[in-house]
Amino acid sequence: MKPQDQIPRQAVNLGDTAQIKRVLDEAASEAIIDAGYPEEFNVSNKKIVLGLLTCSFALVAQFFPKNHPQTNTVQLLCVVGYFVLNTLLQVFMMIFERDVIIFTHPRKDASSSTGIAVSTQLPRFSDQYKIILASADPKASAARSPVVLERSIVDWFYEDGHLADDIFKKDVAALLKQFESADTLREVKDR
Amino acid sequence: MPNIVSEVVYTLRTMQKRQYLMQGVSLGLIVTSALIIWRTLMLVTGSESPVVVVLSGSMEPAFYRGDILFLNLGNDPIRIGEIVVFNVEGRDIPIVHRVVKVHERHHTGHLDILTKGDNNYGDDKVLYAQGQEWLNKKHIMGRSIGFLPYVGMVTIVMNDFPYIKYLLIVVLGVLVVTSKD
Repeated sequence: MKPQDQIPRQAVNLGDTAQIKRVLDEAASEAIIDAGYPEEFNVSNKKIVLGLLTCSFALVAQFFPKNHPQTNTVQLLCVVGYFVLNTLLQVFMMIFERDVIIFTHPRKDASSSTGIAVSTQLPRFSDQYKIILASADPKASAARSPVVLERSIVDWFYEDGHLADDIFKKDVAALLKQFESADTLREVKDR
Repeated sequence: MPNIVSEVVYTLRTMQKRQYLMQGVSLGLIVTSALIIWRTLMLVTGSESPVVVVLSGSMEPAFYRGDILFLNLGNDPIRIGEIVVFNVEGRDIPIVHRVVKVHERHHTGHLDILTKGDNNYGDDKVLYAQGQEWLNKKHIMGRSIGFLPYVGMVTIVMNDFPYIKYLLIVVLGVLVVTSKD
């Protein structure tokens, strides 16, 4: 059992949009995973590896045994390498991860299932939470058109800040059903 | 106040291993970016220690204890009147004083340098190593090219009370790891 199942979800401060988004994102991810889509860690793994590589460049620069100024070339290489890797990391995150909160593998039991990229948006001082289900790999044969659900968060939260889990997860499940029965991208293109 | 603590504890308890790793990497990136900025400064200024804190009042009224100095080494010859930071063998803390005498040997470019703190009665001969009468280029870490008043007091306090330093690091680390961003 995941730790979240044993510890009840905490009430959020309803004035804190970031907290609200975090709680909704967590619940949405749980709903998708519970519907049979296992989480995919590819992008997350690449991020971690890239991040560790970048840090190691900095550590080499810091702890290289010889003394200044003979280590000028080594330091220069490490510093340049660090900047390059860091930029790569940011670019990678921008391209692959823009609003996505979770990537999943296709469902094991369905035949024409596709992995999902779940992206969400909740602008800073707005109450409109938008959740978009799209195919993780738009080039796959089973790739479907994305579906969107946009609604005010007041539908999903109690006054004291607790999330109405059942209502929200039902809405996400309905969106998922909509996504699964949507036309595949190929059908839309051929139309 | 207790709300923040309980939030942090809740976050730490519900994070999974992968999230710990992700947050650890974020923390590592923040710390290493600070290290890299330091290294870049070292490369750009050519100095071993591009930023130093003034520890004594020997340069008053130009610099007071707790000021931060920005150093640059550069290739220009060292001239009288410049404020330099130098290392003496046997001392681990560098000294910030003004150059008062420079003797340059013809053809070789070898320099003999004498320094004095503005606020001191005598020159620095007593501070140099046993038998050493002059400073040479190799002892000079850099020249002062700019300064920030008072900000260095933080470093002085953290050096005199090291547990403040550790406390600060722990608190910052916990805040970063639990920021869930």
